[in-house]
Amino acid sequence: MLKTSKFYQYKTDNEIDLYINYNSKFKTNYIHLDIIRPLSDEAAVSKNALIPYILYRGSKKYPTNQAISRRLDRLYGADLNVSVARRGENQILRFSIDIINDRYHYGPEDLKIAAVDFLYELIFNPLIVEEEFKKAHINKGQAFLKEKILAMKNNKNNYVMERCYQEMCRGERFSLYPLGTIRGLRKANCDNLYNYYQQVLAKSPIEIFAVGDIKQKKDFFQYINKKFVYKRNKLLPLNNTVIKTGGFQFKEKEEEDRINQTKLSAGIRIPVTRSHPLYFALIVYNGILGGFSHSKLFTEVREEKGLAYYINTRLESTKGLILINAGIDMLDYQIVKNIITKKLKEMSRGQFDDDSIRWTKKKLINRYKNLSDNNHSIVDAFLLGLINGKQDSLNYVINSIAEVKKDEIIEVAKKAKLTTYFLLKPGSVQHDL
Amino acid sequence: MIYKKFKEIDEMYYEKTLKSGLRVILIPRSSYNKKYAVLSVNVGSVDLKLKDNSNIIYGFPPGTAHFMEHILFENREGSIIDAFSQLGSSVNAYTSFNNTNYYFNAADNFYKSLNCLLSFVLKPHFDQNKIEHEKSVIKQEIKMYEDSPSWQSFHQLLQGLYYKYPIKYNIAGTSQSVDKINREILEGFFNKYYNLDNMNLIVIGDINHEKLFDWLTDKFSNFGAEHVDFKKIYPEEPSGIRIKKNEIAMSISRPIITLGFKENRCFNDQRKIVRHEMLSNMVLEMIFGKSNDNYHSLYDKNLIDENFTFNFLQEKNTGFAKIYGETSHINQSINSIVDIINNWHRKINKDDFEIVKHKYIGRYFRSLNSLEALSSQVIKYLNLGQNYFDLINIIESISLKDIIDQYNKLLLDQEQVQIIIRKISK
Repeated sequence: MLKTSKFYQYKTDNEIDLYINYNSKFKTNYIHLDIIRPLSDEAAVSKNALIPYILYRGSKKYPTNQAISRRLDRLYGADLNVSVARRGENQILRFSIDIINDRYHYGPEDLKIAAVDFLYELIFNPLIVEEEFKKAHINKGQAFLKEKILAMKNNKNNYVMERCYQEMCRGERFSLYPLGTIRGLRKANCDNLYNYYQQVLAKSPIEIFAVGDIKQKKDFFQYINKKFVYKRNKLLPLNNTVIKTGGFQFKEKEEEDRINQTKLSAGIRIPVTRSHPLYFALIVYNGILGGFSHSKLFTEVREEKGLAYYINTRLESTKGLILINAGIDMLDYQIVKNIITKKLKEMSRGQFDDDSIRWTKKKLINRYKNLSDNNHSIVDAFLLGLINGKQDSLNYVINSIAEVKKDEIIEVAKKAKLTTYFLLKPGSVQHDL
Repeated sequence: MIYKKFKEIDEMYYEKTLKSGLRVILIPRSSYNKKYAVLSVNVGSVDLKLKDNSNIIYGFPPGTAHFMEHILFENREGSIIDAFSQLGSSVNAYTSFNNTNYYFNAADNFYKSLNCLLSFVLKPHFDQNKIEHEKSVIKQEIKMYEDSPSWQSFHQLLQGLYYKYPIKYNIAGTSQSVDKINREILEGFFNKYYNLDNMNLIVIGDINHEKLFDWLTDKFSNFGAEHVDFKKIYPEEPSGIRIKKNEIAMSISRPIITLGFKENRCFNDQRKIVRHEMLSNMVLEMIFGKSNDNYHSLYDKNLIDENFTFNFLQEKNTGFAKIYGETSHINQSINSIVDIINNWHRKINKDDFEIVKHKYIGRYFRSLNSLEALSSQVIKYLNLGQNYFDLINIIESISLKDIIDQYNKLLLDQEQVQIIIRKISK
């Protein structure tokens, strides 16, 4: 029997969406707020990315980062997360709090309400001096964002994936790094930043998620409805992604770095997203190719040939991309490339057996069932459904995966186009951010 | 069978040691889909030497425990991975300083998966070709870690802290030590350490305790009481640090500093270790937590950034505090951190202590959400003769006086290892 709880949907008078997932399985309650922006251009993306990190320096009620931290620690070390993400060609400014369930403390305060109040203060009641964010906070936010952008190269695997996205999607908005760029930060007009932020709040879709022991759902909604009142304009669309279907040119790029292991990403286009009839076949396709340890790539590259410790695929289902990632010896590069080409061909020729389909489906279903045991994953998965305008229940997803036919997987495979290789190999430091 | 109910945290705990010597722990979670089981062997990267009951001493190359973790996935009957895939469950393993853990998660087919897990860990097949094959995979794994700046800073820190204690070796070993491993070494290692009375099985999920214990009793009905007498041997670790300062260079965006303070005391009473570790972490939190002034004075001077972290790890034989930061002002940052530590006793504040306690209580509850995280804590505490569900009482029992005592012993005017990772310039 599948143990899952559904989202109850509410909309405040000024069109903020609230989704409550009521369950009592977690020791904490998780409140999460997303502000959704189109990924538009380098300067705007950098400017948007700056905002959460300015807000995090202090608000009107908690005027310093220390005051913010002190309040959170008093709330039993409530876990605040402020970040910027990319889903398709959307930039998401995210704020979340994980706070202990009220069952486990004896104080008078309702902690989930305290968490809502706190997020409200942080996002909607910033520290303003003469109609602008406090100057020191802007400077700190800029310094912080700059370091965060530069730090991309510290994690070589992530760096290679991001560079592969950039090369394969050059000229498309998806190639913009969600935190922006140093150049973008320089280009962005940061005068009247607070004024700009007010526009952001007025026009952007805002989605709030609450997962946990929230039995009085209506009261909780009413509390938010009364609290989050401000002037809103006509909202921007929830999804701003353009799916490119042709005109791809094969590209191979490499950079050197002072590293021990060569890291590669191979970029594949598949114009199939959530609302496409082949969406569930795409999920199975990705699983057979590289999603699991029984998958084609792992089996040959690691289990048979011992060429890598890791080789896997990552699906970006809003934009229709798959990346194959591996860490290898430079000497084996051509062999690994040949295997990748061969495996992609085998997929489109239907050279995969019924076992691999059956096992992949079972593993996927296991993964989807387990997803509802993690409050962060519940929100992440649901948000992707929202952005793509297709909110399938867990039961529907599981049934749909079970029903995927081999022909459909082959059809997906035929749409897959390997367009890009990006390689980071041992040598001198070359890249420059 | 032991049954305990922990009312304040809504948890239940069953424990039973089977005739075969295997200790089984069940933590029921009726609201979860996921069922998680981990077979934890009491051997980790630090266990490189043992003495058997005829006083013969056996030694193993660094990385043997981790190599065993890899090689057990190679089976006579076919791929272990495929066997689990067939059931739809996910299997994996990891090696820590003190344990090797084999686990799976499954929404369905729990008992079939458990059967697979027990079979493959307990019935090894050491084929020389497979051993050679796995060496090349492990060498790639070692290279992957070597490219990680945070891993490097940790690795270098342990090199600086320890003269002899094998925690200083990379868990996976080195290319050279991995090359030394062969079939004979693996067989010897397995025969000594992989006995049922040297293992714990931890199960978390919607599982009935009676059924689980009956199933396991039945499963092991043909096993006699397995008991292999041996004593793990560790080299005598001199007190004090080995290297005061070490610098390396990597391709990173800004330099990394890591400071390490060594706990020279041994704890013969294992129960004290858990409490000691918790209160040491609270000391660091009181000095460097985001709630107090020190963190912000360093932050505002650009001497640390958001990546600043600290923690304290206590083992049976040793412990250490690690402080990690990223900054362009290397010396100024190190000097300021050391200054803050040595002057902290002048500004101890009772209110700060209450806040830190609150924070740790909340953090404890949050750690119970994830079955993976919970299981690794349960294993750690089990090895120290403790129950992780008692930790809330331990946190509550800690007083400000305990904190100050530990500060005086571990940190005040103590020598520290300084690791600097500089930025390679073009």
